[in-house]
Amino acid sequence: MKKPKIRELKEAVKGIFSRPYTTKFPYQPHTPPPRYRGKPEYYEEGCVGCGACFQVCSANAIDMIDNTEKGNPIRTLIQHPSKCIFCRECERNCITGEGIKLTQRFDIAYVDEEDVLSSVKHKLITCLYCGTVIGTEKHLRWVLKRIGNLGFAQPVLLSQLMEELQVKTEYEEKGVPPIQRTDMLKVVCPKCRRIAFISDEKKEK
Amino acid sequence: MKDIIGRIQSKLGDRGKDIKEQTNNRVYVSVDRKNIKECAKILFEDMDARYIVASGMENFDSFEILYHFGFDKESAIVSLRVYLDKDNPEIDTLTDIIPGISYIEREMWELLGINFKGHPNMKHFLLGDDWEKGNYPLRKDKYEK
Amino acid sequence: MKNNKKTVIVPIGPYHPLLEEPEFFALYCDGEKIVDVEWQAGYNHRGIEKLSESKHWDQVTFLVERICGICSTSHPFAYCNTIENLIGMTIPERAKYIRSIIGELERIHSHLLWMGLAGHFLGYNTVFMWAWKYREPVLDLFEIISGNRNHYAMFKIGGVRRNIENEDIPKIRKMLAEIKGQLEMLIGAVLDDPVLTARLKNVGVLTKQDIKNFGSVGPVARASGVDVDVRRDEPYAAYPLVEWSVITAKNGDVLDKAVVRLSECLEAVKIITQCLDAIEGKAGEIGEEVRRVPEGEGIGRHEAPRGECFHYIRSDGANSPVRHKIRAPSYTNVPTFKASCIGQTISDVAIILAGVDPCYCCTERVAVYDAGKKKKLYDFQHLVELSKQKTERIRKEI
Repeated sequence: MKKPKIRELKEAVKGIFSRPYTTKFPYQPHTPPPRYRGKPEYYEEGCVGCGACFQVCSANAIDMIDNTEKGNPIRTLIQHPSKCIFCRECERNCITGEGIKLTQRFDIAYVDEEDVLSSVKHKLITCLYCGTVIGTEKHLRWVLKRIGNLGFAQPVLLSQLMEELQVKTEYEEKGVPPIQRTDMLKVVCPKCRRIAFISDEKKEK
Repeated sequence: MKDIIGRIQSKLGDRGKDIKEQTNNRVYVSVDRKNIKECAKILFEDMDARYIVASGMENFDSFEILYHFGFDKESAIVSLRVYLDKDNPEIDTLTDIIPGISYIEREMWELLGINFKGHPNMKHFLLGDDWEKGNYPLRKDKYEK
Repeated sequence: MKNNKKTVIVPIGPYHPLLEEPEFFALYCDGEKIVDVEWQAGYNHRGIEKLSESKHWDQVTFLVERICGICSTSHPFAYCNTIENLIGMTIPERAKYIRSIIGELERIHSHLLWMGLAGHFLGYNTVFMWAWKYREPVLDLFEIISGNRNHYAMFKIGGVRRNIENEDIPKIRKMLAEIKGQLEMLIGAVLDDPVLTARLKNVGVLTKQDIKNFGSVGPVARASGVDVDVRRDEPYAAYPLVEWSVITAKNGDVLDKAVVRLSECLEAVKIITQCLDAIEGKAGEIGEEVRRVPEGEGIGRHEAPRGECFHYIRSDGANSPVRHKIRAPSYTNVPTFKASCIGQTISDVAIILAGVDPCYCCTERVAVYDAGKKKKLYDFQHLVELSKQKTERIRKEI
């Protein structure tokens, strides 16, 4: 065999005595660098349930389910890490900035998907007349806080403020559906508000 | 940029219409499909351009093929635009001028249904040999009759 | 290829663990020499051009990133250049430097990967192990900057998505200096070896006319003396703002291709160091907000590690592209087998195939058939063995 060259020999000797480049995971824990893009998680205090993450997700990994039956309307947002591509679009477009964030968790192998799903539930506000979804309660109150006094001009936001201050109107106490023009100040969707404003008729209970 | 437009205009003469720089460093030339062989030969051999690729697409009332050539010294890309009939899209092959163009012509045939007359080896390239005849994946659903 | 009774067909077929991606080649042999080559692709066709018509402009960046894992930044880079060409906008200066840093880091890791594979095909397993060991710090750098080792999600229309923080820059410089030393050692070791040069010289030669006929680009073209490089021909990002040079060679054989690729790694380190000098300690915008993409058409390109990556977009003002045409550089480089393999021997086929650095997501099964009896004689494992045996023969002679 020919004489090996000196610099390669030095590298070979260094290679024998240094430890291998791989880490010892899973026998020792491994911390990724600070800006690693790991599994996304929902944070209940920061999320207002607007659904922006659902609309911008590139891989359709977030499901938004609105359950409007039984008088207890709930919106559920579920994030599936099995479909996720870790692109950070959900975190970038979150309107509060604190609702969904990518953590540093990289070890998400699972047998049962329930163990790794991340989900959050919010109470929905629906139109009293036809039941259409207007938005979540937290989202409307977040908007009201941001626009301050201007909220008095919008009936839906104004009704949320009254609810927060726990001021009830007689119509809510008696449970009369909105048909007259005065019913405009209740929680109604834009379609029913138009009907109340334009029709303004009395109807039997 | 004006220099290259002037040279192409003088070499192609009548055959090249609407020679225009639409965006930065990108020149588009409209060519009739009977003249495509001569125009490609002028650009590839006389003006020593570099062949890049050809792209085909389906419009509402026609098919369109763009042949892209690179003029590296002038930092420009010149594209020859050809319109084909919607019902019977066909055009002459350019394989005898540019040998490397045979693969993209096979791909345009099997994905869009454009017929290249005189191609030496028109077989399936990307799709399997048992692909359903007449099913062209890249055509748009909204234009289907 | 049809009428010679002694012609043997050697299919290098789709799924093989040694090749990087699936492709199919059928080699027609006469004894030991090759007479013709046929190429079939499409084993990894995923319909990306059609998918792109249903995603909106920002989501297409993530879609095209996943065309390839090795050159995963080249496609978003070319796509962002296309949309910026369509709109006619320029990006902030800090974004230009960051884009070039990511592009050049990717060039280093891709060429080191190729070096390892080429060494393996020739029987130099030490080169394979060392090249891939030196590649690991580059991937760690990517993890520090962008958050992931592959699919960096750094590109956005109008700029970049994340900033390179000033406190990370000293660490990046330190790792870069180490990588430079290791690269120089590896390059010296490979190019000074007489057996390697004897093995690779005059193997798989491509002339200038071949390059022109197929439209080849990248190191394959530059090794034959054709001086084409998008970073210099149509400057974009930070390439006109830093000092660097284009590497060419004269002969066009596999040895020249190796020399061009390895020298480009050193040029890349030079470019990254200058870009880091330009952004360290300064503040700046990293992106411009783009709300609408107007009607029109645009063309953009980028010099990927394998050549020029070309994207064409037609838009009609809506949320998604009307037509998105993508041409990867290997589309024009791989057909050069027709020109470079003819007249060569079977034992050289493995290294000629690898010399073009095909990137088509392929693992192919090479099979050698006897044309008359249709009996399988060899598979790709054996072809690599044949290649290693030839290296041993040459080593004994020297």
